[in-house]
Formats: sequence, C-alpha cells, structure tokens
Amino acid sequence: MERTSDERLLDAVVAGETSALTMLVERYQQELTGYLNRLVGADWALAQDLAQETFLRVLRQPTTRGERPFRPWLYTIATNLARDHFKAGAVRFSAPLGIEQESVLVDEAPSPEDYALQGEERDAMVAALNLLGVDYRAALWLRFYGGLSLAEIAAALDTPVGTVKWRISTGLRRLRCVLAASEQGVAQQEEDHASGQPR
Amino acid sequence: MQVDNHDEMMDALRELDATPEELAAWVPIVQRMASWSDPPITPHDQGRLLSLLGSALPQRSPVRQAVQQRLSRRNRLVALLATAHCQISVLRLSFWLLSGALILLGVAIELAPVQSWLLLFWLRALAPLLAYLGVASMFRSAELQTLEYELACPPSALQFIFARLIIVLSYDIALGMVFSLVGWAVGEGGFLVITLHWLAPLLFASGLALALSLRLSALAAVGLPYGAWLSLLILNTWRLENLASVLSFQGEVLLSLAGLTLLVFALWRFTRQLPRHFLAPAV
Repeated sequence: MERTSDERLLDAVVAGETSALTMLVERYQQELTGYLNRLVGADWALAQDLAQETFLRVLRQPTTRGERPFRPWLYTIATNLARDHFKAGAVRFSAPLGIEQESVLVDEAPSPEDYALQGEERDAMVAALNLLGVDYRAALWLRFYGGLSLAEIAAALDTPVGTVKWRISTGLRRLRCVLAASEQGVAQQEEDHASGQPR
Repeated sequence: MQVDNHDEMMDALRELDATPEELAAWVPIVQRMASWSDPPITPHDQGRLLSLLGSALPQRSPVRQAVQQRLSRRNRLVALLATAHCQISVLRLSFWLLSGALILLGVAIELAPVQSWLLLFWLRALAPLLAYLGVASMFRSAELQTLEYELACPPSALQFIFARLIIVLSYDIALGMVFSLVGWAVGEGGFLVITLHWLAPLLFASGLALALSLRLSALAAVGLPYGAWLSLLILNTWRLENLASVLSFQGEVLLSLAGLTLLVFALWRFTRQLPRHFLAPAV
C-alpha cells in the first residue's frame, strides 16, 4: 500500500482528522524525542516535553511551513524550541550524567561492567557535546541522527549550506580534541592509581 | 534515517571536504554518536501526547463530519460526479435557455440552404459562444461572493474546478454533437470534420478563458478570447477569404491540442496558487 506523504497527513490534520494526527505522531514521536534528547544533553523527560511542544506548534502554526517539506520543518521547530529553552534558562550543560539516567548505549545484553563502561563513554560524549554550542550540536545530530541532507539542514537551521558544513566539521574537530583529552586524562589517572601515586 | 551504515557514514563525512586523516579520526566519533540509543516511546507516552494534541486539533462541525463520512464511502470518481451534479444548481435558467437557443440556431443554419463557408462561419462562431456561456456561468463564484463558502466545503477546491469543467465541457460537447449529427445527416461533410469545425474553437476558447481567469475576472477572461476569435472570423469573412483555407484540418487539430494544453496549464496553475490544504479533500 502506498505510504501517505507527511504533507498530505498534515493537510488532513489541519482539516481536523484525528487518524492523520495519530499517524504523524507514530511516525515522528520517537525520532523527534531522540533528536531533542541528544540536543539537550540526554534529558529524556525534557526531550519529551519539547517534542510535545513541537507537535503543538505544528498544529497551531501549520502555515509557517510554506512550501517546505514536512520533516525539515519539524526539525526547525524542534531546534528553535531547544534554542529557546537554552536561552530562557541560560542553561549550560557540563555535568556528566549518571548511569541511572535513561539514555543508554546500544548493546543487546550488557554485563554490569559493560554497562558501566558504556555509561562512562556516553557521559564523556555528552560532556564533550555539551561544550559545543547548540547550533553545532543541531547540525551534527541533524546530519548523523536525523539523516538530513546538508541542504535540508541548511533549510531547517535557516543558514547557508557552507555554514552547515563548517559547523559539522568544526563540531567533529572539537569533539575529537575534547574526547582525546578526556581519554588521556583517564589513562593518566589509571597509571597513577596503578603506581600508587596520588595525582 | 540515522547514519549508522558505514558507507553512508563515509559519504556523509566526505561531503565535508575533509582530509583523509580527518576522515579517519572522525569515523570513531560518528560511530560513538550512532551508538547512542534512546528508551522506546511507550504506548502510554504516545497516548498522553495524542490526548493532549487532540484538544488542540481543529474542530469540525458534526454536519461536515457526516458529509465527509458519506463522501468517503464512495469511490473518487463517483464522489467527483456527485460534486459535479451538485454544482449544476449554480447554472441559472437563462443559461439553459440561451444554450438551447444557440443549438437550435446552429441546427437551423445547417438545415437551411446556405453556402458551406457560411455554415463553417456559424459553426466556428457558435461553439466558442457555448464555451463562453458555460465558463462565465460556472466560474463566477468570486463575483457571487460564494468562493469562501465553497472553499470551506468538504470537497477540495480542485474537485470543484474539475467538477465544473466536467459540466461545462461535457455539456458543450454534447450540444456540439447535435451540430455534427445534423450536418453529417444533411451531407455537409464527414462527421469528424464537422466535429472538428466546432470542437477546435470550443476547446481553445475554454482553455484560454480558464488560463486568463488566473489573472482576470471570470467575465473578462471568457469575453476576451471569444471577442478576439469572433473578430478574426468576421474579418476573414468580410475580406471574403476562404475560411477553410484560413484554418485547415491540421490547423483545427492543433487548435484543439492548444486548447487542451491551456486547460491543463490552467489547472496546474490553480493547484500552485491555492493554499495546499484547499487541494486535498478533507475526507
């Protein structure tokens, strides 16, 4: 059966069709919450709230889409909401996250040791990402999580393609530096611990 | 969706115009990013979101919902024909009387002992006049100030346009067939040739009128092509040129195709100009 396009579903939603709304939510709730979760630094509850607000904006301001395809427009709204959230609270993430938080690395059946290790890796990644500005994070996640093309990201972030490429490259460079420094620090700590010398 | 396939990842990184060293260094980072997973959205999460969004969903009146349910039970062609049938009420009695009179006039000229050039003149003059009447009568909603009401109805604006075109063209063509049948019966020429004499200007006038209606009022859009066409015919008749040589059989075929092209163009432009949610039926 032919898949109804997102744009057509949105038209039906605007016309008050409940089943179309259910289909849009089924298609995008997980993906959108995942994106926002990454953007806000692994805070699943906040990501869910922002995703909810994104869908509300879709319902309330459908005309702001203009001629744009649905998906990049959805990401535009989500990114702007996350940006507003950071501005409003002047939020800056720096604290590494605890294992009890909900986001976990993919593993089919991790042992407690694996889980702890992955938690540490994730924490290091989240901490490194949080050192980047929200625009860099958005460009990185839209490309590598959302799978949007550079042109779609440019449209979603309302910025030229060249700037998007630059943000992704710079973001990756900075991530590499921060992660490398963090790994070096851990290695040094372990070495010190093994030799019995306090740092 | 997520770029976690190795080839896709490499393609995505190559797009960044990075050096091979950078590419090699970035791959593990992107792999780490891709390994990040989220908790699944539970049915409870989804239900909560849907119930919240449901209250923000535009409300539809019970009458509208009932009409939509009724329409959704039919297939699209039947629904379109039903819409067309409803639209017939837009046409006033004067339209039916005038178009009937035009046909009677055409038939009378065909049956009268007139010269073939005069018969050709009348066929070419009367058929687009039918189109003029039809288009002017069916597409005058803006002047009647009913356009907003129509756009708020369950069938889409595009369905309205199609429905009205079906009425106008099928009615005009059905009436024109009377010319062909009578002319063929009295031995004025082949059925196809006579049909083309009236069909070509009719299609051209309808197509041009619809295309012009994108920019002009409905009345001006139908008046201009018909006025120009009639002037051309009278000018040629006055100069006593052979009308058949002015527009040959091939010329008439081309004129018909041009008319059809203009119709398609006008419909395409309508779909581009109307807001997107007016184009799809709300069912």
